Amino acid sequence: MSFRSVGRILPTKGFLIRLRERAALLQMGVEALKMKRDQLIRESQELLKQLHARKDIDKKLEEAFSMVKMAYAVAGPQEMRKAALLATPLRIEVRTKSVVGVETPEITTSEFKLAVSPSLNSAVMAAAAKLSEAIREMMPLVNAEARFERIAEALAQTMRKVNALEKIVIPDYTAAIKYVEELLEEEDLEEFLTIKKYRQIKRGE
Amino acid sequence: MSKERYLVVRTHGLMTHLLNPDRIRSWAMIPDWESLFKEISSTEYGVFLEKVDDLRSADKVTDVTLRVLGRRVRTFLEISKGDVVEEATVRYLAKYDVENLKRKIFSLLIRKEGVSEERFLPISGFMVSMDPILRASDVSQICDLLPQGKLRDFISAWLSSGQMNIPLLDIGIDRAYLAETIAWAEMTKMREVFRIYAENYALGVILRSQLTGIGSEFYSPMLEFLSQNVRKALSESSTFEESIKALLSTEAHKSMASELMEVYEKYGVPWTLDLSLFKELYSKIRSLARMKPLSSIFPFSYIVAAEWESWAVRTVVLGKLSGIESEKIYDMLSLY
Repeated sequence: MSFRSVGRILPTKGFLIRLRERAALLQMGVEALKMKRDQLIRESQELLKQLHARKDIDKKLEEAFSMVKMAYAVAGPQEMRKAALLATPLRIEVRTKSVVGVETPEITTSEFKLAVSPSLNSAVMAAAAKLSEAIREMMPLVNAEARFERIAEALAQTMRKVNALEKIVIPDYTAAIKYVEELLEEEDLEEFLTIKKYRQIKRGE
Repeated sequence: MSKERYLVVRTHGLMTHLLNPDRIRSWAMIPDWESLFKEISSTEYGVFLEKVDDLRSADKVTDVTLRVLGRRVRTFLEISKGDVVEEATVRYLAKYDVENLKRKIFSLLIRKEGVSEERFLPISGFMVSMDPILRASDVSQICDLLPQGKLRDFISAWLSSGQMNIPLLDIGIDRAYLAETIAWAEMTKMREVFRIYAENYALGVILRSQLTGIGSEFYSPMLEFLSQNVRKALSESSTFEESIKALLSTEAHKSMASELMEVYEKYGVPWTLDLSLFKELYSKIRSLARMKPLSSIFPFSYIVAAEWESWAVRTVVLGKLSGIESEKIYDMLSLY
């Protein structure tokens, strides 16, 4: 008989002890993974609240882009190019934060200023102000979405592991232990009968 | 006939070539590009437009509007040669040189890809020849190319200070240009027009500085170009909102301030500031020219009117190109 998760079965007491130890370890692993899964679910539920801000951010970005369009119409492409020249590009810092062993990104804006010169057209300045405001407000959402993505991925993986352990590996080990126990019991019984027969022969019965 | 009268008569002739502002506004309501192209083609702008697709290129439209303005300016400078109006026009249009100069300096200081070095007007520089300046490889070279004066003094002082403060440079260039212009105008009969212009220009710098959060220590020197009551009103205001509220109490800028306040309250940003300032300048110079139709102010008002026309045509086409509603474009072009 074969057990896919266990591998080759040896009907020995040593093997049985090892099997029992491994089964206990697997059980502890399942418990730990379940704890991790619960924690990840809690984290993702927290993040879900932040993700609801997406609607507002979308609206803000739409407003900012319509302002950019207006600035383009009022100030013209040359003024937009000048604004691009004077803008400090968006610089971000990405650090990683561990949430129950899952590495999630933490993005912070280190430098970002779109309108720095008073000689820019006011429509361009207004568009720049709206756009930078929208981008600044978008950053926590970006963080939340990136974290959510990683956590969701880790959660799916953890759940697959828990299921595999609970439904396949541990039952396999339990069955293997039972099988080895039965084999050893049979062997014990056989040995007992052999000894008994031997004693009878020796006594001349 | 005196030169002044001759210029007035010639300007009347030139004015008839300008498009009626209401006609340009009505273009905002044209629903399709073909009809708009047909309409624009029948004007002076049509010379530079070959096909409907030309209207769909922002750079092409900007170039065409500036070319027409350039042609108008050239014609005007020819007929006003030797008159104070010629010098006034050159000094007024030198704002485009100032703008180009700033762009060149910024591009040298910041050194980024995709820097625009085109001139606003496809004609030579007014204050200084722009070609060698645009070819300069560092700011000190530009300084050497500038004529002796406040602008050159300021840029070299800024360079030797070693500070890389862009707003300081920006405002300083504007201040030097305005100081030189107003000093010239005060000695001529154009002083009234240039006082309006200097106040309008300085007001723009101050309000934009407040919008960008630049400290009053940078923009306060611009207060010297304001009339006494406007200066008094603005000297106590440190934010854009406060300044607009203060301007509402002044007779000179009430209409502009109320329009700006309305936009500010509606959009949270006063995106029409430049438009409102230019509208105010155009309206004031136009009414001054109407009051003194035989003075040098009338010929000068032609340049501002031509500039408004160029600006309005570009706004209609680029507005449509950007997908802005027709009504909004129409409203943007209303005059005070």
